[in-house]
Amino acid sequence: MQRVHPPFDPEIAAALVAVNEALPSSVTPELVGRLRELTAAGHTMSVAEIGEHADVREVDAGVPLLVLRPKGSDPAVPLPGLYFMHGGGMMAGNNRTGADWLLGWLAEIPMVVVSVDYRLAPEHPHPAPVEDCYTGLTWVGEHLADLGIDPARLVVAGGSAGGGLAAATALMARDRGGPRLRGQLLVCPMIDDRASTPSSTELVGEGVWDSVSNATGWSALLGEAAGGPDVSPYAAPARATDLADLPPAFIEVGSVETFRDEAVAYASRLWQSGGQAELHVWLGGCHGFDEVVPHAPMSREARASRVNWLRRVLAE
Amino acid sequence: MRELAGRMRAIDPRAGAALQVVAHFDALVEARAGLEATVRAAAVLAGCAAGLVVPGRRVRVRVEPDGRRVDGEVTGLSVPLPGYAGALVWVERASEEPGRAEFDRVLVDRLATTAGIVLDRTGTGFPAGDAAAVELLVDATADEAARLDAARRLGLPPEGSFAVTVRAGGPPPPGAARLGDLLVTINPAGSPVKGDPAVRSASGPAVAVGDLPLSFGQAVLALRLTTVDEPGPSHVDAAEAGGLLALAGGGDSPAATAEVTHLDRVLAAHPWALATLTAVAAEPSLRAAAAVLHVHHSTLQSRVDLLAQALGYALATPAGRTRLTVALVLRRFRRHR
Repeated sequence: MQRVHPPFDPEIAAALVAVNEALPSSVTPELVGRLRELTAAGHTMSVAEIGEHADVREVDAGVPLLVLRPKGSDPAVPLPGLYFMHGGGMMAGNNRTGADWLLGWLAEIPMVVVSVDYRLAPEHPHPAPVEDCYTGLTWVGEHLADLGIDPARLVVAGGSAGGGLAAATALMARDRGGPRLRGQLLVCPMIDDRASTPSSTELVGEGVWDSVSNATGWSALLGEAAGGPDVSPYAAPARATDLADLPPAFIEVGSVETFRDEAVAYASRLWQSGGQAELHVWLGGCHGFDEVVPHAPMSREARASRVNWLRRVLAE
Repeated sequence: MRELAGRMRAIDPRAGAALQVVAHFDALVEARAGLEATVRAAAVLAGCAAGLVVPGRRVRVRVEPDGRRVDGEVTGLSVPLPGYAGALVWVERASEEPGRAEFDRVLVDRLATTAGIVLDRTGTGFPAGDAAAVELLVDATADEAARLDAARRLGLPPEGSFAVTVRAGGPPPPGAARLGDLLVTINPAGSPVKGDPAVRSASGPAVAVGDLPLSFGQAVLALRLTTVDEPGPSHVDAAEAGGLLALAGGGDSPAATAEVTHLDRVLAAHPWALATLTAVAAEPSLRAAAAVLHVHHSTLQSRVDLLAQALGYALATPAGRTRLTVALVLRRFRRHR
């Protein structure tokens, strides 16, 4: 079968040569160990390092949470809150993964950031990861005053697998009467296990997180059930039949990634359900492009778009 | 996964880093990255600002190590871009530390090579093959508005200075227009012309955009002085030929006809005569002419004496050498019309 996809941005294409030397496009189950090592080595700051930029608190809420506040801020003054789920294909990372994003947001918008250390597949398949995320969110909802979070200004956010978990916790919060959410920030979210969209199969052995990697991730999370008829929307939010009454979404993908079409479809369905979605599809971007070419103008604009959206939805 | 990022940021300037630099620039070429992306790669890899300036295309790109574009002056380690007048790339560090200095040298060289490839690929600022625009610009009968519009299409800055190059065959350079048997290109003033010894070519003088027909006309005249099948230059620059070009107008006068007929009779008598007279006219001394001709000095002396006698005028005096030069020029003008 001939596969057609948009070309990668030239700068991204060049950087991918080095990226794919470290980890191939196709993350098979045998490479999950390597994925974990690289995630730990390359993208996870220590608590002490994070503490240089923000006041850090580790909390056991039934699930380990990392709470960040602007340095020296007064907890008596309520700030907006952002509840974060890290990426890693459902199989890698911890609540310090992606801390550079969090510190970047914190530097732009004074707020309280909470990052959750959910259990990982395949050792802990669905529903462990998403239930851990929801447990943490519920705890935050019950401790808003202690945390100094304004109850009217709480959002969920995540990238990649974390974007999928953020969408799922928004569904759970709606369905179970959880904390009221002001928005959901979904960066290149992993939300559909069915591999039925064109983009979900157009990358094989190229780019970042190709269709093989995606199958590895969903199989780790769902086992035999992946792609079958009985998958919960809390595992794969694209499966949700009812998308009404969800908080406004920010949805971002690259035009050359496995998740492109499922992200676009999710935005469309939110609109069709009477909801709000702001959709950004970046020209020639691969999955997670802003960290592959952090210095490129497009990466800058993508990061600025997230902050601008957060500023708007979190405004008093 | 996105968590892999930062890899390019953290390149160690030792331990095989130069190889990584080479590989990364190769990958940029492969992906057909543009000039800004190329300069940005250098700045990010070097961890200091890098830049590129190409006066002929009015391109100036300077990128900070965090990837932002901020203008600034050329400083630090710079290398010129061959083939682009006044163009150079630079990396803003002149390190004394041996490992770092070598890394920087590799980096700035790769930046220069890659930028050169991008510039070659993108043509003289115009889409390769916009022959119609070139044709308009060298046509004195086209109206001025049409020519200015053509200059805009080719990206030629109105205040810039340009020279026309014509070639009588050979592979067409990017953006060349074909006018009759000639391939015509317009180049920023001062850009070196890559001469091909097997193809006759000539350049006109550097002029303002509006005077390109003049540059073209002079280039066409200069081309008539070139030769590839006889001893003589394959490329002539009109600016260097100067007043000799005026002889083209007198090529059919009775004096010219008589002089060239006389010269041809002498040339026909000895197979070495044309090469000898061409070298004698072009070289500063008989000794230099002998070296060019690969003959012994005394051999040349006796040949020159013989030819001077046949021509009927001295070749050692300034007046005699001038007459010879004019005769050879008239002959070339009459051969190539």
